[in-house]
Amino acid sequence: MKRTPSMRSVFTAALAFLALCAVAVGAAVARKTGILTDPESRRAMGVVVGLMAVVTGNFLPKMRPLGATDDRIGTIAAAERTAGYILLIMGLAFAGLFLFAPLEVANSLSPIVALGGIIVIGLDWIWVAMRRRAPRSPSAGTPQGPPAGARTMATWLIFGVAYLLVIASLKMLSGNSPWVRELGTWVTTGFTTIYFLVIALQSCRRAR
Amino acid sequence: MSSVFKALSDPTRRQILQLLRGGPMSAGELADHFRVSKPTMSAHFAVLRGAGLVSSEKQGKSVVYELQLSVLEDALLTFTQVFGWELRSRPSKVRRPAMDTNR
Repeated sequence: MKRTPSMRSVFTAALAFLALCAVAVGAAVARKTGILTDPESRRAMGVVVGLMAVVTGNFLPKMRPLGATDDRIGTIAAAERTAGYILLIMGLAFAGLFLFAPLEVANSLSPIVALGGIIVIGLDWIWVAMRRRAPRSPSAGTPQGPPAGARTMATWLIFGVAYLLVIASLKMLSGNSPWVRELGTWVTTGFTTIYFLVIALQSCRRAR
Repeated sequence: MSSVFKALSDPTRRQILQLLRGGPMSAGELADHFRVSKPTMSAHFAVLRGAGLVSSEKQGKSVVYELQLSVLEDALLTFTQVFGWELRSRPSKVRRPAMDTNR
């Protein structure tokens, strides 16, 4: 398979994401074994989640998650770029709060930062999707977009970061209440179902 | 990363990236914006492709280029555009792809 810049970016972001997941697991183990205290491990987790958003935000415009191939490719690429900037700045703010601010301040401000950023990105993408014209067959001047495998990985990576940020924020806002865990399960199930339904519908449409 | 700095150090290449911000363009369309020879343009495209800042796709007889900038690369491009940063090295040490005719 030809390794395009978008594919390389997805692999780099995925590797960084996995490395940060390993750090998060390490912090959790360190807390259980008493190497880190509870506030220290909370700070470490906050920084790791923030850095995950920074890495994903940086590579987001290269990953082309919206993968436009129609004549509005410029607008959609701009929306992806804006989302990348928002995610990167939000991640830096999130990590910065957990690094430098008192834990109480970080716990109350970071959910606002994270949820605010994700809502702005979501609204921007919905606005772009609503203005998107019907796709036409690719011709000269309209590239095919990233390969399907790279787009699948990019979609799951972005969902993973958004999921982590939203669930972490809700946990902090609700004081770790059990309904957040339940919501997390429902969100994951819902996303997986919708994702595979969309894939199946696209395959059916292509087969016709 | 050094390939990215090298790619962004040339004003022509930066202008190509600025043009691609509006959407994908064919090599011919891009070349129309510059008064440089085709081999020079090809060399510029090769540097940009090598740095992973653009992707190319052959469609029929033309090659279509598309922007592939990460957020940091995009910020770096804006920075270099604003401050007009150029590669300043001794000519003997720099391997330039070709000579620009308009400079």
